[in-house]
Amino acid sequence: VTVADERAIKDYGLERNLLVMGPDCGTAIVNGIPLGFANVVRRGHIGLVAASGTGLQEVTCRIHNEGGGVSQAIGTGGRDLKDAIGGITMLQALGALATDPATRVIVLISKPPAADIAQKILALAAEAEKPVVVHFLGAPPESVRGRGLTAATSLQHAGDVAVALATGSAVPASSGAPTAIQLTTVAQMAAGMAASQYAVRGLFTGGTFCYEAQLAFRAHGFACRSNAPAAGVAPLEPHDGHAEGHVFIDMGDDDYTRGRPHPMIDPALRNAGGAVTRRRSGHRRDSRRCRPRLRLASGSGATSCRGAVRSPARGARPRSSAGGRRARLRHRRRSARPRRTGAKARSRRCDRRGKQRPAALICAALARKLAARPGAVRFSAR
Amino acid sequence: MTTLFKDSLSVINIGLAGFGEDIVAAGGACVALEWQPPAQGDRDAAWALATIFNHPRVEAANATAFGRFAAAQPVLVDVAPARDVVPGMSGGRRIILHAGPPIAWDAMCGPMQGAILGAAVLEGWADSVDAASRLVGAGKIDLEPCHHHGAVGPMAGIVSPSMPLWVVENKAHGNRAYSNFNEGLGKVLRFGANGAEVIDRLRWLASDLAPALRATLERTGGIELMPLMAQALNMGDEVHNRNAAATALLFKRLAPAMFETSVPRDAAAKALAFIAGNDHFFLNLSMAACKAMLDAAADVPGSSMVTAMARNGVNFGVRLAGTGDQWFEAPANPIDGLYFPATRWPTPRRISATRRSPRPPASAASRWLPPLQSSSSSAERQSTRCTTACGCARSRWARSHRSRCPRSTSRRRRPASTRARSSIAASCP
Repeated sequence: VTVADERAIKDYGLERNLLVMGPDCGTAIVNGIPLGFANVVRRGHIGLVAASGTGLQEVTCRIHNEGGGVSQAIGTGGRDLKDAIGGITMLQALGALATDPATRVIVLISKPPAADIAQKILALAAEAEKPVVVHFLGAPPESVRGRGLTAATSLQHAGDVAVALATGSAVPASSGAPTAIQLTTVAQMAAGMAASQYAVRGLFTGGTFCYEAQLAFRAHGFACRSNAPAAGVAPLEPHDGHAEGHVFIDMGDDDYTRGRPHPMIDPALRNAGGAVTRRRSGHRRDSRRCRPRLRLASGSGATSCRGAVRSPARGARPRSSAGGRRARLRHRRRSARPRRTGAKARSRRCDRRGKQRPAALICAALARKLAARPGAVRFSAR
Repeated sequence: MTTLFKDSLSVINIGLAGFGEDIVAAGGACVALEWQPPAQGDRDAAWALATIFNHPRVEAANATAFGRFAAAQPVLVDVAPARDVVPGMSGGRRIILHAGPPIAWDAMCGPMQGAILGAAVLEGWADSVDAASRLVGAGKIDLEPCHHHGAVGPMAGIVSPSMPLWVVENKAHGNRAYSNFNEGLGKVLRFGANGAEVIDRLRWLASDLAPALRATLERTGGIELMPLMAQALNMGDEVHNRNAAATALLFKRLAPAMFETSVPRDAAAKALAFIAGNDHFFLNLSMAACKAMLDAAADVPGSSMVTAMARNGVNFGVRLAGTGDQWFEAPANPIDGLYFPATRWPTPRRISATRRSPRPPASAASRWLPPLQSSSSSAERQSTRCTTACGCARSRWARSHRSRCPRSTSRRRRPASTRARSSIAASCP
């Protein structure tokens, strides 16, 4: 969908007071019903609007895991806050949530919008007479100022703050430090790597996670490359054949979805992720240097099992039996467990646990762990 | 949107069904609509389609075109050699018409080439198939699509100047359409056979059968084809691949009249035996009838109505009412068929003059026969009325009529021929 078409469609919707959600952000929970990609989360009093599908999923999951609930979750489309669109959907949705009696706290999520659009949105948010949590990924918290507005420092933090505001408890200053369990995992991963391996390869099926990982690396002073680079991150040129250092690939990017469904729907490419990284980053030549890892996005609408295509026997477990408790749990799962390619990964069972393992945190922690290794120094600014 | 958060959702899921299943699993109401991006994802083509979709000018033009099609009254008026009735074939011109969109001799599939060579021999332009091949190869014989001359014919659809043609006139608009004679099954010209047996039969068609039929038609006057086809449809035909009833009905009209003509008794007997022995005899007439109806719809500026669909064994082409004589072509789909053992030659792609115009029209005609029918003669109208004698205006053509008709007593009274319709798998003529 071209930007011009998107604008025309959204103008059409605006004239008729219709909400146009999308394109490029197929996530919504309206009245408890998942539209597109969404997770099974408790109903509650937190309303969300996001220009990021996976970011929206992440925050709704965090809210659920922290004991909160979601009134409405509305995806606006990834480009909604760009100049050409002007945040039409976000403004509409924000207005709707402001008047929705079931919604007590509002969460806004986006990559940093254009200044005037940000101003417009923050002004409307300040008028909402409800606490509004704002997370513009990578933007300094100072940029969010207004009555009733709280800036969140990460997706997790946005969820935590929203729950705290909804329950009336103290707002956490930040939540971004890896837990002890996560650190242990990272330590195990690092220990399992050869001494010559120092770089992180991240394959993501959600653009926001890829973006977040890059921001985490940037914040820690690690250089990285990506096919969907955040500000300050070097682009990964297509077909450049060889990339040194840390590389993050968003497999939902147009390069990968041309002529095929998004990897959240068709995980074939994702499951072949190792091969793709090797091809894209010259991994084959430096096979001892890198370690593929995958960010798995799940939820309703998404393919039910990460092995679904690779192993039909496992994937054949019907998702439509979602009435069963186990299936529901699996939907709720958002795992970010590092994954080996090869036989070992194939033999693994699906992770049905509902634990969150934020990819960005783990990637950054791993990078820190590996920073002292020979070869890694070049990619560390500090 | 003002009520979005208050009402329960009623979702229409367009495209991937999985999303809808998840909505249902979550307790929501969802209707799944099967959809894929139009024009196979070609943006420009899809937008072009979108801009004319429901366009008032196109809709009006289509209404006009369709109105002409629906008002057409194809009547069999004559039988005559092609050179006498088709303007482009007169004056001793060496021309052979073929099925489908235009195609060069070298690019033609084997069966069509074989049929053209047979026709050249039939015309006496060459004394052997080899000589004919040299003649055609040297460009001494013009090859043009039937559709450029208002003609149609099944399969290879070959028409040469001396061949007798059915002349079907659309009485409503005055346009005429032509079709060759059906030779039967087995070794026939339309399948590419060109042996002596085939040529002899074609000669007999021209020398004996055609004059006999012409004389008969003079006796009967024009035969209205629409009521005949309508009745045949009701008897189980689809007037494309199953023509037994239509052929029988035509036979009924011809036989008594033929014995009232001066056609010698033995010639008449032979002619009628030929008609009776070929269930597909009517096929070419239904094709010409459809061609006459669709030609009535042609040349309506702005109309997107398809007026011809045809294949020449290599390409498939369509013509639209709004685009004049222009063909829009694509490679024909390969045949997925049953072959004789040890078939080795590269099989031609679909060729079927039948498909070229009659298929859409025949099916279209069959769909629209009831309304047309009801406006024809009262006797015919009587026969198409609901047989349950409820007297309701709905014609018995509505398949579900019996189950819907309040005065229908039994649902088991569908005629056997109708029941058999779905189970018969006849070979393509």
